Amino acid sequence: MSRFFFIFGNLLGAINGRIGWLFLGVVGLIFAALLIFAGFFLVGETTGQENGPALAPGEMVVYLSPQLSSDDVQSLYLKIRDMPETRTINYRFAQELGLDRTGGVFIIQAVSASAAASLQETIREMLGIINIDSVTEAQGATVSLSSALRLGLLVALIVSIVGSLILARYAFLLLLDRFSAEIKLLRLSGTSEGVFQPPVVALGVLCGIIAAMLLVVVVYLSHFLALSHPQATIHAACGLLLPGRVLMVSLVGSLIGIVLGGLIGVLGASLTAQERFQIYS
Amino acid sequence: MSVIIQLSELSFVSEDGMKVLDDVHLRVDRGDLVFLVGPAAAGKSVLIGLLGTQIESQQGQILVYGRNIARLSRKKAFDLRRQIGLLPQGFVALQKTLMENVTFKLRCLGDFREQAEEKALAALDQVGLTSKLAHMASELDPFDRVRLGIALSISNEPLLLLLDDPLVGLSLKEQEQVYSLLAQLNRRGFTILATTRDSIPNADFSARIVELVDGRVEEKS
Repeated sequence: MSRFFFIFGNLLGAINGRIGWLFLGVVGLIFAALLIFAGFFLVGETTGQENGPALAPGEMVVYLSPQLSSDDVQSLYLKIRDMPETRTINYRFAQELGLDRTGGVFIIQAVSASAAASLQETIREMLGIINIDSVTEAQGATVSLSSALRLGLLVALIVSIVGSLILARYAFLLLLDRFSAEIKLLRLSGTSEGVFQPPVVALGVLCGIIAAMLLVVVVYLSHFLALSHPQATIHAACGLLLPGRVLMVSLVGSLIGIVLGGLIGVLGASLTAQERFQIYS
Repeated sequence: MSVIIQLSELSFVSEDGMKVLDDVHLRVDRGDLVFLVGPAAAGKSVLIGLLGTQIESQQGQILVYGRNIARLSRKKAFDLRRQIGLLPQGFVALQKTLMENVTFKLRCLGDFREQAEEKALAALDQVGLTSKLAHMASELDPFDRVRLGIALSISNEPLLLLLDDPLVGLSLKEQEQVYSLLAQLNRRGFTILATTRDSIPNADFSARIVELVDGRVEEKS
């Protein structure tokens, strides 16, 4: 293990400014590919609601009876606002939301998806409530993307993956050129490829890990941002409001990033077989 | 005397169909100091490459330490390589200090830092470079570069040294110093096979001189 880290340290030491920028570019392209992959699952509008406003998990629309006086509405508003399960509550006219009804509605965001269920039960018992619309996580799990956007994302995904491979090949060639004396010395000394290729693969994996970490940070930041402004996000990236979806995208995206980094590393390691890195050819 | 190298009916044809080695027979015993003399492109480097298991053999038998290298598994070929100190023609040192050059090789072979430093110091001492341990290899003159190459070759204590034209680019005086260093190492127990395109001066050491002309060898002394 110490031999691996010793060679890996020397390989990193051979990275100069230009090569460093190239590898940063590789990380950027892997990150772009992961972000596009995440886009397939996070961007777009939920298809969970057929006949009502688009809702996020934990969010509900409470339809009020048109018979209620403004004092009754005010009283209900205050009662619901003061419940511990309530995060936000807003009053709207049904027409404002494009609903084919009269009277007002409360748009309520519960503190969590699980709190929403009990909140819904409590509200349903109250007088003057006609109906409640909400969306479960399972309903919200279907994200609709237009076919043009889907195609665009697919093309961008392929371009970024191919781009990362091409850029990585160039970066590795430059790096291995700077490391060629070491490779030749290792060959002379009776060190097999099995000793000096793993650190090269590890460098690719490292690029993948950095890109994966960036993805997790960006996805979770967006998730928390989306939760604080659910109405603003719901039509653009409803997947960001689904914690399970965000976790799945982060985990699978990280795995893909590491695998892509590993592939890039294997591509780099395969370059050491070129004639220029042999002593006798 | 135990045999270290035994070549029989060794032939080698280059990619462009040129016969580089033609029915070569050669025996090197333990403790020998052998100079393989021949003009440029006589096949000296190919012979060293074959012995060092860096080039795949085509025809004939090559026994090193009694092992037929054509029949060695990949792993055993690497094991054998570790028992041979090989200095290729035009050796390029690492952009590091002399000490770091030698410890790099030893650490990559699996030695821990202290062990590697100890061995590196001993190797550099044997070639008389202890006063330049912290010098950058790129600052060395040609003679010191050869000495560094030899230090690298002997650092993991192999019994056999294969040196491919170590005298290239050296002045006559420096060449004599290299001969003298090789004679010293030979007296310390290293078996040495060195190639050169220059004639060997009459010096105060006994060496076997083998000529390689048109792919064939001929014993001179």
